[in-house]
Amino acid sequence: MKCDAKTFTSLYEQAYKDMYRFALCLTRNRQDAEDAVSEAVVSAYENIHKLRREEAFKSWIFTILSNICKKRLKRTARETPYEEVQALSGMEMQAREQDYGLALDVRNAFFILSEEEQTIVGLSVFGGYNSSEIAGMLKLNANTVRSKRSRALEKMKCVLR
Amino acid sequence: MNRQEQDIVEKLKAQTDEIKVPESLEPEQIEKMLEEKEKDKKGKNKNQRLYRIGGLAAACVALAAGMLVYMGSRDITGSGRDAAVPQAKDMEASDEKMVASATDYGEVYDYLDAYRQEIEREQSRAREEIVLYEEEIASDSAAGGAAMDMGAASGNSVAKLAGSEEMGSQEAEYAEDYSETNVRQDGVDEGDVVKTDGTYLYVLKDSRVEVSIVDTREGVMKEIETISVKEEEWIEEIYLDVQGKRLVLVCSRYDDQGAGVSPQYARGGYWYAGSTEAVAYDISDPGNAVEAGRVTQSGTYYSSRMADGYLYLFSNYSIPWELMGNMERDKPETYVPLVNNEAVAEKDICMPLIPAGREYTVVTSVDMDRPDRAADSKAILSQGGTLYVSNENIYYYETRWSGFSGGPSLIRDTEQTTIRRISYRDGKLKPQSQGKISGYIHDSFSIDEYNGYLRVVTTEGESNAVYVLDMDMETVGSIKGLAKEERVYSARLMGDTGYFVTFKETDPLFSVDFSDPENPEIIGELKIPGFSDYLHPYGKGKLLGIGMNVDEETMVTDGVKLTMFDISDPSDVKEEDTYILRNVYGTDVSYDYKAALADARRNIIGFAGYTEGGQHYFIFEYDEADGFVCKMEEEINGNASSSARGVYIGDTLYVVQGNIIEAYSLKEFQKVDDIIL
Repeated sequence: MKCDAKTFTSLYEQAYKDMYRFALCLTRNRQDAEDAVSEAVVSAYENIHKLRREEAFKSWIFTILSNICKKRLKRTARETPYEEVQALSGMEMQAREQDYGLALDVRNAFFILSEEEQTIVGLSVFGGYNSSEIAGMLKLNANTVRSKRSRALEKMKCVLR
Repeated sequence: MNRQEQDIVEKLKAQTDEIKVPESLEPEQIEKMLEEKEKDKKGKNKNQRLYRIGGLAAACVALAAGMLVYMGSRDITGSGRDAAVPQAKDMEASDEKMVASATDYGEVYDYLDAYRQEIEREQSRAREEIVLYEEEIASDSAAGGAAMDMGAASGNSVAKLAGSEEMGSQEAEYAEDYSETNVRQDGVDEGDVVKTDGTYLYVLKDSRVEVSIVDTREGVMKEIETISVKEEEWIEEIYLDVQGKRLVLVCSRYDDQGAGVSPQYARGGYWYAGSTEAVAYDISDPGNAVEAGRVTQSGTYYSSRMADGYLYLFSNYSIPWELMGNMERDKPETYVPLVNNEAVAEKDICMPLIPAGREYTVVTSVDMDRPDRAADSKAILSQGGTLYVSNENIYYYETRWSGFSGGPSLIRDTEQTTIRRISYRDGKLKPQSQGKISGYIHDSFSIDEYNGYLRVVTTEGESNAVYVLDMDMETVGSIKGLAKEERVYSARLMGDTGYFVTFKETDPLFSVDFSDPENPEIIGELKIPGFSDYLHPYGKGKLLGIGMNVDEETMVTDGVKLTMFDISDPSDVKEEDTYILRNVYGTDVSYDYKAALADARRNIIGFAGYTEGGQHYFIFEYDEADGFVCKMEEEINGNASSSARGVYIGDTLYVVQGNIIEAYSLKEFQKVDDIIL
């Protein structure tokens, strides 16, 4: 579709709060979440001509955002070598944790999930997508999404209860 | 999604609703940013065509059928209902007592084709209507209900860590006492991410494409072999057949061998049917593992078991919707799953109890002496179900959920579970009987075969029940209306006595006497705060519970709780000791019994817990005088998507998390070694 900054923004406006919350739950860090959303916006704007229907904007930009969050998480994991993980205890860990801007038990609930589970749950909660839609976005089988999601929610239940 | 899942999603949404979005992301700021960008771009490169055509558009054409049409229609109306869920007219479960096998491929074809037409009608209806935004409820309570069931089974409680009685005699010379994967059923092994034979550790690496073999002798870990899988393939779980000297990699792959899908389609499309493969290695020389054979079957990996030298491999296969139109009656490979490239025989296809669903669960047995071929195969047509494997039978059960489960014509008052029994012995699979009970089954610990009877604990609406079925799957005894307004949290049925825990405000542990199968009887009820997610027999007269403590005033969980029940008199169960880990807000054991290490003989209880500073591994001992004694709490340094495992060989504990193994002495509880794979 053709799209100028104004039109893009009006579409973005309907999705941005959920996008930020989604990114925050995945990255568990305000700055990272903010960066991920900006990156998704830039990438989406550059590729908006590939989007055929305006109605699909939200699921489309969420797919982009979830890929960006995934990449970022991988990068963070690579950039933190074993020794550093070991050293990163006590004070440093606490200092890091304070910046989450996320309710403690929600953060804990996401913390215990695998990356893929986080994405699936995030898309259900913030995107409001059903399992078939998530399957399409993540290129998974819908049954797989359903069983992964229920396993993830089962895990989170222990923490949120 | 079922109601419980919906609740959690709602809770998460409510708790994040207040989160403020940073100013830089406010639409006004974004618009400015994009306008700046636009100016830059125009200035720099006038020749660049901003609006290219093609790309995604071309790819979309190929996906013009099935769910996409549905999604499209919903996008047009702005809201919609999930029409992808089949709504067969007659959804009542069959009363037939024997598991029905297909008489010929034509019967299977007619069934699937009728299903396809049904969905097409639904889709056109959906396109015409403007319906309310309720697709989540519609799509998920029908199909997702079964998925929840699956999750629950993969999810909950139990363990038994036997010693090494069954070791090969040669190994016995140098191999030490070692732990085995905590399984649901003694004698039926399950796949996991770590296995050991008492000398070597076999570890599935975090990349999921490699297995490392680590020599543990002389107190120093050495990686001596790495096995990789083919491209486009990843490892789900591994098995070790110590006697047969086989290591089995249970793998999933993207490329598809079913329904004539071209690999290109399979990879690029939104759906891939996928296939599941068991690759066996000869590990007579663990430093030089040699492939001994592989068996491939259609469908995504579901589960597996190993018993008496046979692997039983389960996958779920459904024909990609856009290919249902290409089914050809006289070409079974277009609608029947394949095993090693051959369509499953018609006599081996079990027709569904409920005429709905296009999913097959494919089960294949593989002889570890001949791992290059399938010893036997069956394909079970269903809506998607869950497994319990006893020492002689595979029980395949499906739940139909109450409430709005797939369409307005399908409102039901109560849940109903259908059970199919398929016997297995030395690789031979035989469909036997089938039956149905009301309610749903919490997890595979709530269903148990003993002495020719199947005992089941169910939750039905707002209460719970116990059923005893004979091998014809006829209900011979029951107790209904238990623990109103509570749900089953965990169960453990041990011989003639069963125990189960329900929870609302307190945690009643019920004891059930099954010694007269036709008259099961509640003989005890113990009320305690909190709940146990997992129950594990811990030596004579003891039952270990692992769960969460709940603050009775605030009703908030405030830590992981260990409980030891004295069950020497099942009619008078006592809470012998409890131990609360205040700063530990969860443990994988609550939903993954394989994460538990519990062995009364060795007196060792091990598990990983989540703390503020990351995951810690705990080791406890238990004795009647001192109760639970925490012997070790150590930070886990590995970082992986799978949960941590504790495995012991002799007096050394190995904590395995992803690619990092940390070794501790079980005498001094000090770290003695580590290795990064």
